[in-house]
Amino acid sequence: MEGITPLARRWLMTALSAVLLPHLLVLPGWLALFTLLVLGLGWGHSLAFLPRLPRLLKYLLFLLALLGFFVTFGFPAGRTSGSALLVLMAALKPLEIEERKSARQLLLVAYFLVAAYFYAQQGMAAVGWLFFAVFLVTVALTALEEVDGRFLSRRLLLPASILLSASLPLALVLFFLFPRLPGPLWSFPEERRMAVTGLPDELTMGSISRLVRSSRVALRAEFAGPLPSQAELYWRGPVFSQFDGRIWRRAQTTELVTRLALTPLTPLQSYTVTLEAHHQPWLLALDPPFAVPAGASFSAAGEVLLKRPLHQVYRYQMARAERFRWPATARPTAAGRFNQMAGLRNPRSCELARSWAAAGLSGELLLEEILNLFRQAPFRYTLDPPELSASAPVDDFLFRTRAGFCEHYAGAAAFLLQAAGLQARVVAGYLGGEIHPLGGYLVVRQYSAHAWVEVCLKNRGWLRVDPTAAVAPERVDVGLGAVFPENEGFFSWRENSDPGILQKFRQYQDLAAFYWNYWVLGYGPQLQNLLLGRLGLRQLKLWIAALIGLPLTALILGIALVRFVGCERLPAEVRLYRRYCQGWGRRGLPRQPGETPSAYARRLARAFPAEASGAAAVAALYLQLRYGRDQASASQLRHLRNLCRR
Amino acid sequence: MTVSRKAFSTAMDRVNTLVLGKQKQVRLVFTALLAGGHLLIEDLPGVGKTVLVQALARVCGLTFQRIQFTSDLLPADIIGAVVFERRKELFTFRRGPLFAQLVLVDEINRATPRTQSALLEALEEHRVTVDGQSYALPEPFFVIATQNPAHQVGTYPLPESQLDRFLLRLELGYPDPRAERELLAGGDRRQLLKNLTPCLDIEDLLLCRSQAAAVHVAEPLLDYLQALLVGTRQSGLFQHGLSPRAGLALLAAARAWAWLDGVDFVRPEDLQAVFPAVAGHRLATVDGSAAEPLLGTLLAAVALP
Repeated sequence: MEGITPLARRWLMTALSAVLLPHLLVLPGWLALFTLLVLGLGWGHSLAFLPRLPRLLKYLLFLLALLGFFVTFGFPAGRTSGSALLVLMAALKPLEIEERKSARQLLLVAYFLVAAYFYAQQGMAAVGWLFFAVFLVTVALTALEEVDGRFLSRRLLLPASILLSASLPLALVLFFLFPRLPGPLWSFPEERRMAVTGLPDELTMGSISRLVRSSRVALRAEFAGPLPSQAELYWRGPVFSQFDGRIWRRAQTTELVTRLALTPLTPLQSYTVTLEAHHQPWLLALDPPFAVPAGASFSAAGEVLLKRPLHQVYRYQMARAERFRWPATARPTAAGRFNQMAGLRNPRSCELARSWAAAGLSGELLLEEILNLFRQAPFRYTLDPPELSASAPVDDFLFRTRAGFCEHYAGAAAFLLQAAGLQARVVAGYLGGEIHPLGGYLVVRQYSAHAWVEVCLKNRGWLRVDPTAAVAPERVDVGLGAVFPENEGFFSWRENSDPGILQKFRQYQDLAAFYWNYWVLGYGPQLQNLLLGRLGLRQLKLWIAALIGLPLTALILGIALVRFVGCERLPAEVRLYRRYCQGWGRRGLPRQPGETPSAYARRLARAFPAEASGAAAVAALYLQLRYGRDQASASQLRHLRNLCRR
Repeated sequence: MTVSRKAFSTAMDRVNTLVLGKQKQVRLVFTALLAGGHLLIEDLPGVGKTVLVQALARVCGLTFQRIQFTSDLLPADIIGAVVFERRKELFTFRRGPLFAQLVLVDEINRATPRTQSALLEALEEHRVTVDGQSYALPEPFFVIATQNPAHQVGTYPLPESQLDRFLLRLELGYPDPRAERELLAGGDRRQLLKNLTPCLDIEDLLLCRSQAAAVHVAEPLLDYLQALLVGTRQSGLFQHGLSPRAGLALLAAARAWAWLDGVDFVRPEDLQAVFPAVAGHRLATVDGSAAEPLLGTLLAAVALP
């Protein structure tokens, strides 16, 4: 029932705008525009440009927001839609706030909205914004309790600064020492696919070459020991074994195993991958992957899969062997076999493959024949492959355009192998990577996306074959920059390509991002165990959990209990009278904290002379019941209720 | 109850016919009388302090004494002294002017601290002691002291601890133009005073006092009173907060105020009405300015339970 000073209202709008603006960048366009409009109305109101909005208009805005929300998102389920709804309502709320209590609640919601933004963004800039926004919200909370005054006064800014600086050490201690859980506490329904550059979950001719325009980091890796050579850095991702003539699809994952039937012939070399969020379930690993990380498993095709798509930066350990052997008899699976439909769609290629098979070519010879075909003159490697016919892409590529990127060659080769009766599949992933000159780790960017072929040969098991090596060997041995020298500045940060200050800046930026991923985003149970173990505090973790968790729970329960019991203990006449005052508060005449019932009644009578007698009667009866000698009787309470209604 | 209260309000009305335009202050004077406390009036000379007190004495039928304090006044001059009576050949106590039901102490801050102390002791104990012999003061015993604002020359301002002995302090202030015109046009005040007839006797007054002291105080009101006390202690506006004695004084004054309204329980507005008069002289602001405006701020800020 306490009112809000103009100063507090301006701070409320400042804090709220700072909290909501970054959300607008990730929300759909109409929603962002609507929220901006509503915020503008709120500002107009707080700066007294605009009068208080009529109630009908407020209802209209609310209904509009709700309608638009349901049209865009359907039934609310999921984080994006959930925070969108919260953003909308938080922007609308200042239009109707009259009391300090609701302003306080809105500011608490603002704290939550700051946290909710981290579903969408987890970079360093977002954390900088977090500190700023939390500071503003804290200042606004202070301003609520202060008398009117200057907007930027030390009285407001100082307490918030002190509070935040004082809480920073505690936040750090909690961040590093509070027990980390391996998975989320509760799960959200899956969101619709977000538009993020990364490996596709269906492969068509052209879906890899699209990625070449992006220099976003896909993953970073640290190796214990010497780095493998460039040509060995095949980062294995999704495996596509089913081709219908147009699209390569992944085989349905039926069985998951924690070991592949591979035998390493050299000692295992372990390495650590920090994978950026790509919203897909697979992890990237050097080919072939050994030793699956905790929580993941192998599919039959040798993909490393998590149980659910990866929505945050993930750090895991893998192992590789320089040489390895498949067991003598590779288990035949249905995946990777020829599909009649694909043959019908691409008849000429199918015919070619069958003619080779009929000529008695099989196994290694057939493979060699295909690679020879690609080595011949008209076939060329290009970043801008010409458009292929949608109905017969393989025929079109092999007999007409003869120009393509890795997925064209891999897709065509795998199809020819399948058509000739062999088991073959296309593997997507990344090839290569760059050593960071300062950090010493390997950075793999989206433009290193690659696709190659695996073929199952008798007595040799699954064999990796890269048709791109036949048409453009430098791509495999050196990198994209060697194939396309005119674009080398984009594809590399090697000193010789551009020693400028921009290049240096890029290097430091990547180094910062690497440590950010390592210490902040990738700080999970494993890293925490490592840290605590180094500090000799491993056993301490439970104690910390108990020391922090139990009092916190007790505190929350205690507050809930006190509130609950406190509410119950308020006498009936007080509850009636408060509701009565709130009713007037909604009509713009809230009762001031130190205002006696009689004084309030007189003020009401001045504003609404028609209500004078009623207000006086309510005040008199309330005083009698609250402060009088006798306990309020049921009939008196009923009388008070009737008076309040009127 | 109604009879005595009717007589009481008649008395109040009669005083109001003499002291024009000061209803609130007159009511506070009667509040102090009812609550059994003493009153300090602080104002410039000539705004009607003496007339107010004399009128009060007459309508209430109280014996009246007036003491003008000066810098050479001694305690014996007000309390009385033991003198040797030659005819009876023994020492007798000659009562001083303090032995009256209503005593007007004019310009209390003119006297030396020694004399002030003697007076204030009598105020608290309702008795005086001379040569080891105690003499009870009459009942009711109501002292109204007047004080010139301290910045006038040749005064000894009362220390805060002694100001605490007075239940209420009030300022009369200049009359408003209408009341002043009426005053100028009206007859001689002295004559009017003589014409005043008493409408209360001592029994009535004592009965009223006991009734006022029995006015009901509910738990929520005590909550509010405590919140106000805490407010003076924690707001940072004042050097010290109100003492528990000040809390008792507030309660007594609020009871009397409510009784004057004819209700048998204390309401928050009764407390608010007497709060500035009770707390004003007991609080010193941090920056040395007047306490009353800050008390208004405090009343507005402390929420009713």
